Amino acid sequence: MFINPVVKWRSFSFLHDGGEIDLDETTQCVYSINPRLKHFSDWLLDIIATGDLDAFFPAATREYAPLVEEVWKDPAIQETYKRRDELHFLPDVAEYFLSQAVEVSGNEYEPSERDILYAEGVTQGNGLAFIEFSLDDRSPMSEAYTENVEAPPPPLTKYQLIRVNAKGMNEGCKWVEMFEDVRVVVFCVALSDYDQMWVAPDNSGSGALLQNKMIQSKELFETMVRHPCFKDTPFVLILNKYDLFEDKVNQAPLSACEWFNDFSPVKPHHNNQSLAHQAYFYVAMKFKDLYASITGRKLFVWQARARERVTIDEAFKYIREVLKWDEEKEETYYGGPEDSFYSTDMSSSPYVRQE
Amino acid sequence: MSVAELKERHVAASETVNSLRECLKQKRASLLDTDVAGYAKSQGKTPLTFGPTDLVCCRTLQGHTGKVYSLDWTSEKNRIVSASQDGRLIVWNALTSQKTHAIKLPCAWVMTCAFSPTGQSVACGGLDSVCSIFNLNSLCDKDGNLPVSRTLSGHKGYVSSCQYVPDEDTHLITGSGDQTCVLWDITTGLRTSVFGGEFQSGHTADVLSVSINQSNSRLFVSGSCDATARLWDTRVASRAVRTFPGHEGDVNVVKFFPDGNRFGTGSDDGTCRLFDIRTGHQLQVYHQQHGDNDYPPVKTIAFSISGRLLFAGYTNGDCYVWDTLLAKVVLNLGSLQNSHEAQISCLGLSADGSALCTGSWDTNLKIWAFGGHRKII
Repeated sequence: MFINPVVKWRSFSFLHDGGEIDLDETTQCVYSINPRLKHFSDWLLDIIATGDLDAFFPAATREYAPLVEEVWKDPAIQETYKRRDELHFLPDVAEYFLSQAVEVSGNEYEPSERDILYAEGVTQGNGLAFIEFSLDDRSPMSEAYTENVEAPPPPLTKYQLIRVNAKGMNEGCKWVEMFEDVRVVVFCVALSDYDQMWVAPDNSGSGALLQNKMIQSKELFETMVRHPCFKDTPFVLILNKYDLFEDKVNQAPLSACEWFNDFSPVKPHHNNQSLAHQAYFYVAMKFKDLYASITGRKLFVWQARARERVTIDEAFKYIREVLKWDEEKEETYYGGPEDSFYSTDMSSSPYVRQE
Repeated sequence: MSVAELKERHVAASETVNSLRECLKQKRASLLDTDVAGYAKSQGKTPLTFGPTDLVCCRTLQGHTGKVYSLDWTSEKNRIVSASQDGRLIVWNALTSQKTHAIKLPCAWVMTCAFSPTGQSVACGGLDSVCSIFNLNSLCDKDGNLPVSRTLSGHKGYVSSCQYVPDEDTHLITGSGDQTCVLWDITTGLRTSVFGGEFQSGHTADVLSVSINQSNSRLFVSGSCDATARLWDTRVASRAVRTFPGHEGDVNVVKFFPDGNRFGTGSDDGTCRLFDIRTGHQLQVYHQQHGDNDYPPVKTIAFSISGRLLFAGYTNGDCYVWDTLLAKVVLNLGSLQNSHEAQISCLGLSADGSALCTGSWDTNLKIWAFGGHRKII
C-alpha cells in the first residue's frame, strides 16, 4: 500500500484562483517545495503515469520512506493539506498513514487492527477478491435459550466477501444477475459523502467531470432497486461513517448535496449532536421515500460507524431480524416490523420544510 | 494544455470516430447484396421439417440443487461437466446418467466450466476472479473434497467464460468482467497473453463469452457487454484482428461455426447473428417477430455438427432450433412436453454431434438425441 503525497503538490496549480500559472523554478509561494523534493515527487508521478507502480513498490518503500516523510512534513505540503476540502481525490486516511510513513514502511511493521480498517479503499485494484469470515450476528431478540443449556451454541454464520470490480460498481453490472435469488440486498452509503465529489461515470448526462458522491450513491441505489432481479427482494440501507458526518455537518451544510435542498432543521440546536441527529433522520427519510416511490415497499435503514466494530455487529443482527420478518410476513396477519424496537418510521418528519 | 482544452479535443476525437464508424457501416451495407436466407431461398432451398420425434429427450440428469449455469462435453468420450449455483461441479457419464465426480468449489459463485481435451481435468471460474483447475484423477482430501490442482489468478474482475485450447491440456483462454481475455499457461499458472485491458485496444466493457476456432486454434472470438464481438489471434495480443459491431445489446454468447470461417452470437437484443471472419460481414440475423414486444435476451447458443441447425436458449424458457440457412425456427425445444421447467442457460453438442445437452435453472440437465431415421445434422 502506498499513498502518494505529491498529488497534493501538483494540484496547487488549480488552487490558485483563476486560470493557469506557469510552473517554473522562479515561482515562489507558500506552496513551493525545494527542487530536491520536487525531483523526487516528479519521479513518483512518472512511475504512476506508466501504470507500473508494482515494479518499484513495495520493494523500494523502505528506502524512500524517509523522503516521503520529509515531503509530508514540508510546510508547503502541510499548507496544501489545510485546503484538503478542495482536493477531491485525497483519501481521508492520508494523514493517518503519512504521519507514520517511516513506521509503516519498516521491515518489522505489523499492521494494527486500526491500520487494517483505515487501509480500506487505498489498496491496489488487483488485491484480494474473495475471502470467507464468520461473525457473531445472533440477535438479542431471537430465542437464545434452548431447553438444553448444555447444548453447544449454534455455529457462527459464515460470510463470503467478494470484490467484484476493482474500480467499483458501474452501470453495466452484468454479474448482478447471479444474485437474483438472494434474500436481502444490503446497500451501504457513507453519510459523510454529501459534500464530496468524485469522477462522474462516462454516461452521466451533464458532461461534467465531477459529480457529488451522494448523488452517485443515490443513482446506483435507484439502479439496483429498479433492477428486475430484485423486484421482490427486501433492501436494507446502512448509513455509514456517522462519526465523520457528525463532525462535518456543522461546518458544511447538508444542502451541499442538491438532493438535500429542502432540509430545514429545527433551530436552535444546543449541541452538535442534535443537528447531526436531525440530519441523519432526514437523509434516511429521503432514501425511504425514494424507495417507496419505486417499489411501494418499506426500506429498512440502519446507522453505522464502520470503524467501530460493534456497530457492524449490530447492523448484521438487524439484517437477520429483517430476514426473519420477511419470512414471517407471509404467515402473519398483522403488518410486521411496525411495532419493533428497530422501527424508524419517518413518514411525516418535522425536519422537512412543508411545502 | 488545460483540462478544458483536453476535454474539447476528446469530444472532437469522439465525434470523428463516430462519423467514421457511420461511414463504415454505410459502406458495408452497400456491399451487402443479400443475406444467407435470401440467397438460399433464391437457390430454391426449403426449410427442414422437424417434428417432435426428431429430437427426443432421452436422459434427465438430476443432482444439482441450484440453477445450472454452464456445461461442457469431453472431446471424445461421452462425459459432461456442469456448474451450478449450488457451488458444485458435477461430472456425468452421459450414457449411464451416473455421476463420476461431485466437486465442491471454494467459491460457490461459479459462472463457467470446461473439460480439458484429454478429459483428465476440468476448469471453472466465477465471481472470485480466478480460474480453478481440478485434476479428476487426484485423491480426495480428508473431507472428501477434490483439491484444486491449479489456481489461475490475475483477472481484476469475474471470470465469465473459459475454454481449453484444443489438443492441449496446458493452455486455456478466459473471458472476464475486467474487459480482457487471457491465454494461460496452466503448468506455470502464469498469463501468456492478455487481450485488451488498460493500455491496449480491446473490449470496452465486460467480456461474457469466448470461443476458440477448432480448425485453427490460434484464433478465438470474444463477446462483450460493449455489444461487439472481437476476433483475436493469440500471437498478436495488442489489438483484435477484427471487431464485429451490429448487435444492439450485450453479446452474451459467441460460438464458432463448425467450419471455423464463421461464428454465431446471441445477445440481449433478442437476436442471434452469423458473422464471417474473412470478410467481417454480418451474414444473417436470426430474429423472430413477436408482436409488439422485443424478443427476450439470448443467453446461450450451439451449432449442430454440420452447422445447419442453430440452437438458442432465451430467458423466457424458449429454446429455438433455427434452420441457419433459411433463418426459420423449425422447433421450440422449450415447449416440448418433457422439456425443462425454467430457462435453459447452457447448451452443448457432443463431440460426434449425435446428442445435445441442455442445462437449466430448474437444476436439471437433459440429453436430447436425434431420433428416428434422421441422420445427424
